[in-house]
Amino acid sequence: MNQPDETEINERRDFLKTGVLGALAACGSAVCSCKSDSRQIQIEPGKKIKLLSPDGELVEVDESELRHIHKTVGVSTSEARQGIPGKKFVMVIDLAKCKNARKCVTACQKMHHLPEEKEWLSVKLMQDNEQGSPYWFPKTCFHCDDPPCVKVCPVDATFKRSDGLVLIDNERCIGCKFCMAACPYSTRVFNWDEPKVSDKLACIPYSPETSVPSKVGTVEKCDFCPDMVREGKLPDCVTACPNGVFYFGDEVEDVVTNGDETIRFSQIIAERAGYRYAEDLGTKPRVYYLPPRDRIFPVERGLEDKPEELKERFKGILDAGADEK
Amino acid sequence: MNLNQKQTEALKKFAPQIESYSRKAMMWVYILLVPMALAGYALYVQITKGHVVTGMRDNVVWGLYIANFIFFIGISYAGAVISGFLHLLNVEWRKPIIRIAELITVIATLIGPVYILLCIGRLDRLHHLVAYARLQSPITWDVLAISTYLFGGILFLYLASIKDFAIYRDATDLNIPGWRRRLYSALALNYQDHPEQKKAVAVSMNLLSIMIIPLAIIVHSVLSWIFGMTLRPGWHSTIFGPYFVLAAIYSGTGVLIAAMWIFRKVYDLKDYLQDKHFISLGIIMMALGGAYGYFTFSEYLTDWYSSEKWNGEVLTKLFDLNQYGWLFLFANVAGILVPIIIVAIPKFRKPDLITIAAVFMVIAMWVKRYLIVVPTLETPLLPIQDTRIEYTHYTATWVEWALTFGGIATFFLLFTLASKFMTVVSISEFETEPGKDE
Amino acid sequence: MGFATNLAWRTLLTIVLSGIGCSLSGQNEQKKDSTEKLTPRMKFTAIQRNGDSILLQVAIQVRREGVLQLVDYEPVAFFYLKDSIALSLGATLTNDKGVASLWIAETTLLKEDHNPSLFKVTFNGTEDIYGDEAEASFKKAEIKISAEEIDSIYTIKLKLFASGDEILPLAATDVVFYVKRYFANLKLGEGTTDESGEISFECPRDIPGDRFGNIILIAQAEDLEEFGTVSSTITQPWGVPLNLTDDKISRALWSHAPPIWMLTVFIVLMSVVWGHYFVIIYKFIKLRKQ
Repeated sequence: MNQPDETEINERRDFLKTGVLGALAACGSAVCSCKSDSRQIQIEPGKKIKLLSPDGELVEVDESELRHIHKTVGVSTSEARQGIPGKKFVMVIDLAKCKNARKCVTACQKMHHLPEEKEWLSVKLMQDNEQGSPYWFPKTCFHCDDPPCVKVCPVDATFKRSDGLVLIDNERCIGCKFCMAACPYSTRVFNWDEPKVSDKLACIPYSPETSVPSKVGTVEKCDFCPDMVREGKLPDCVTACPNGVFYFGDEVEDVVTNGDETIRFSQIIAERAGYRYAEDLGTKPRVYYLPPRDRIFPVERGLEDKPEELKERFKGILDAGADEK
Repeated sequence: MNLNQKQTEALKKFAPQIESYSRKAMMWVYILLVPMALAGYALYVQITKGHVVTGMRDNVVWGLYIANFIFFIGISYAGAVISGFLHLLNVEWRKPIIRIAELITVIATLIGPVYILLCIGRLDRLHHLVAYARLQSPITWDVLAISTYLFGGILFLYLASIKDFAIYRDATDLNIPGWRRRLYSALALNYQDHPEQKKAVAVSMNLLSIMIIPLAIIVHSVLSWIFGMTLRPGWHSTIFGPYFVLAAIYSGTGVLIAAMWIFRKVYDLKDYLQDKHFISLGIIMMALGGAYGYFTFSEYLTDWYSSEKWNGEVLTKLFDLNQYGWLFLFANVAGILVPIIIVAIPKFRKPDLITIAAVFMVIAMWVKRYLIVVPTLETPLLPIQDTRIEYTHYTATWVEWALTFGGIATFFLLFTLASKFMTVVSISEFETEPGKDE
Repeated sequence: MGFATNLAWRTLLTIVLSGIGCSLSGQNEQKKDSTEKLTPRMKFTAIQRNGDSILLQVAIQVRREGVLQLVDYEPVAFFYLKDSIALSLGATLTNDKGVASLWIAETTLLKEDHNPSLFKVTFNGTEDIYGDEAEASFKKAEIKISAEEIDSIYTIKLKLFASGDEILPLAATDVVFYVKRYFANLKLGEGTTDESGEISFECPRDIPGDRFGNIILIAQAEDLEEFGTVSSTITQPWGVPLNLTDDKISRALWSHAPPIWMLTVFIVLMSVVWGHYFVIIYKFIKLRKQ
C-alpha cells in the first residue's frame, strides 16, 4: 500500500484538529477577557445521550461533544441584522405527531447552552374548550411579521430581519422588559441573575445569530438557530424531534422539511387546515400549526417516564380529563 | 423690593421656617434617613446580585417599581394641572397653595423615573436610550415626555418663585447666612419689580400654565400607553389614556390636601391655609372622584359584560376575594366612595376629615396601580404551566419594599428641605389681595 | 417505525444508507487486545454526479459498550486503487455526524481503467480506536437529462445508462426527480425507466425559482447495486421569478425607521414645547439685564 508518511498524517491531523477546535475557541485573549487556560479546550466526558436509530440500534453521543460543535462564532452584529437575502423562513408544527418527548426542549437547551430551567422552547398542554381533549403544543418564538415585541423596543435591540426572523442583540438590550410585557405568547425570558456559563463559553464572541453567551440583565428567546440556517442546516429542535413534528423551510421556496419528509408549505397548510395560534391578535406569526387530528399518540404518553416536577406542571388539565372518564 | 403690609406680616410669620431647623425638624430628617439608607442598601444588593433579588420573574416582569412609577408621576399632577388650571382661571384662593402644589410636581417627577430605572436590567447601557432611540417605542415617548415635563415643572416652580427670591434677598431682617442670601440674589435674577419685569414674569407664567396642562396630559397618556399599546387583558383599553390622566389629577389633589394639612399643622399656618382651601380642594377632589369612578365603572363593566375569555380571567382574579378581591374592594371603596361621601355631606366637610379621605384615597390609588400591573401580567394568553411559584405568582421582596419606602422617604425629605429653602406659601402672591393693599 | 424515527440519527444514516449499493463493509477481524481498543465500523459510499464528478463519503462509528458512537473530527484519507497501487486523492475530517466526504472530478481517474473504479479510505485510528480502511467499487453510469416544453407542459426527459466500456441503457430502474431547495430537495416525481433506460417527468409550473425564475432540477437513481447513486442536475428557467423587493424593510412600527407621521408629530410637538421654554429662558436673561 502506498500510504503517506505516518508523521505527515499526524501533523496534518493535529493541524486539522486545531483548526476545528480553534475556531470554536476563537477567544484569543484579545477578543475577550478569558482565563489563560481557556484556550485549551477540554472536552470533559459529559452525559451520554442514547437514541434509537431507524434500524433499531442504539447510538450514543457524548453531550459535551454535541456542545462544542454548534454555536461557535457567528457573523457580525451588522450582518446579523440584515437577514439572509431572498428568504422568508417559516415553521410548521404538526400537533398530531407530538407526544411531549421534549427532545426539542433539551436539544435547544444544549445547543444554546441554557440551564435546565430556562426554556426558549416549551411544550404546553393545551385544551381548547371543555369538551376538547388536551394536546401537546410545542411553542417556539413565532417570529411574527407584525411583532409586538419589536414595536415597543426603545433601543432597537430586538429587530425583525428581511428573512422574517426576530432576533435580539444582547449587547444593545437595556433590559427594560417591555418586549416581554408586549409579547402575548410569553416567549421571552430574562436573565434575572448572572448566567452560569463556563469560562470556555464566556470567551465566545457574542453574535445575535448564536445568542451565546447569555448576559445578565438582558432578554433572550428562541432564535430559529440562524447560524445553522445560514449554513443550510435545520434548527436544532427540528432535527432533534424523534417524531418529525417540526417542519422548517423557506416560504419563498414554498417548501418545508422535517429532515426526513420534504413537502410544499402551501399544500400542507391547505390540506391539513394549518392555522396560526391566536390569529386574531394580528401579529402574523411565522409559525403554523397543523391541528391535532388523527393523533399518533394518546396524550398521556407525554407524561410517561417524565420526572415528577414535569408531571406537576400539567396536573390540572390531565386530572380533569381523567375524572371525566 | 417694597413689601406691602400683608407681605411683611407673612414674611415675619414664615421667617422661622426658613431660617433654621428646629430640633423636631432635625429629628424628622434623621428618621427619614433610616428608610433611605435601607433603600440604598437594597439598591446595592439589586445592582450586585441582579434582578433575581426582586419578586419579578419571566411572567410578571414588572411589579412594585412600575406601580410606584405611575403613582409618583400621578401625584406630580398636583402642581401641573391644579395650579396650572387655577392660575389660568385666576382663582383667587389658589395663591397660598400653589407653591406646595408646584413643589409636589417637581419632587414627584424627580422620584418617579427612578423607579423605571430600577426596572432596567442594564443600567450601564442607559445611554442606549438616546444613542439608539426608536421613536416607535412608548418608552422613548416617556423619556421625552417626562424630561420635557420635568423641565417645564422646574421652570414653572422657578418662575413663580422669582419674586419670592427677590423678597428673601432684600429682607434684611431675615436671619440667614450670607451664602444663602447670595444664592437668593442669583436666583432672583436682578428682579426689582419694575413694570417690564413684572410683565415679563406674568407673560411667562401664562405661557407656561397654558403649556403645562396639555404637557401633563400627554405625559400620563404616554405612560398609560406603555400598558395600552400591548396586547394584554386589562391593559389594552382605549380609555387608558384619559383614565390614567384623571387618576393622576385625582391622586395629585389628594396628596396636595395631605401636604397642606401637614404644613398647616407643622408650621401653624391656619391663617394662610384656611378651611376654605380644604373645602375648595375637597370639592375638586369629589368631582374628580366622581369622574374617576365613572371611568372605573365603565372600564370594568365593558370588560365584564362582553366576557371575552382572556379579559375574563383577569376580572376573575380581581373579583375573587381569595386572590385580589380585597385589594380591589379597598381600591374602589377607599379610592372612590369614601372621598365622595365625605365631601358630599356638609357635616363631614371639615379639613381633618377631608384629609383622612384624601390619604385613604391616595393609598387606594397606589393599590389600584398595583392591581393594574400585577394581575394582568399573571394572566398570559398561554397557560404558564410552571411549578416554580415565583414564576406564577408575584410577591414583592424586601428589596422592592425597601426601595418603595425609600422613595416615599425621599419625597418627604426633599419636601422638608425645600420648605427650609423657600416659604411653603408664596409671599409675593399677596400683593394683589384686594382691599388689604396699601 | 414509519416516520416515527429519530431524525437526528436519520440525518446520519441517510447518508450511510443512501449509497449502500456500492458500499463495502470495512469491518475487519482484528482481535481485541487488553487495552480495550475499539474497532471502527466504516461505511463507504459514492455518488456519481452529472457524469463527471464523484462524491466519496465515509461514515465512521464505533460500538462502545453496546452502543454506536460517532467518530467526529477525525482525519481520513481517500485513495484511488489501480493495480494495487493506491493514489492519494486527499484527506478530510469527519464532520459532527461522523461523516467525511470528498468531491473528485472524474478526470482525476485514469481513463483506461476505471470500470469498475476502486476506491479506498483509511482511518488512522485514535488512542482508543483502531485504525481501519474500507474499499468501494462501482461501475460508471450516467443520467442524460434534457428539458423541453411539450404542449405547454414542462417536461424533463431522462436517459439512464452505464457509460463504461460500452453504453448500456439501464432498464427497470427507479429514478427520483427533485427540485433543489434550501434545506432539502423537494421530490416532484418518481418512476421506473423503460427498456431503453428512459423516463420523463412533468415539472409543475408553480415552483418558486430565483430572481430569474431559474430552478435546479435533480434526477437521481439511488443505491444501485453496481453503480452506487447516479445523479444529474439541470437548471431551467421554469420557476416563478422571485420578487426581491420584499427584502427592503419599509418604515413601520416594527422596523428601524418610524412612520413619517410619527416623526412629524414628534418634531412639531417637541419644537413647540421646547421653543416656548427657550422663549421663557430668553426672558430670564433679559430680566437680569434690566
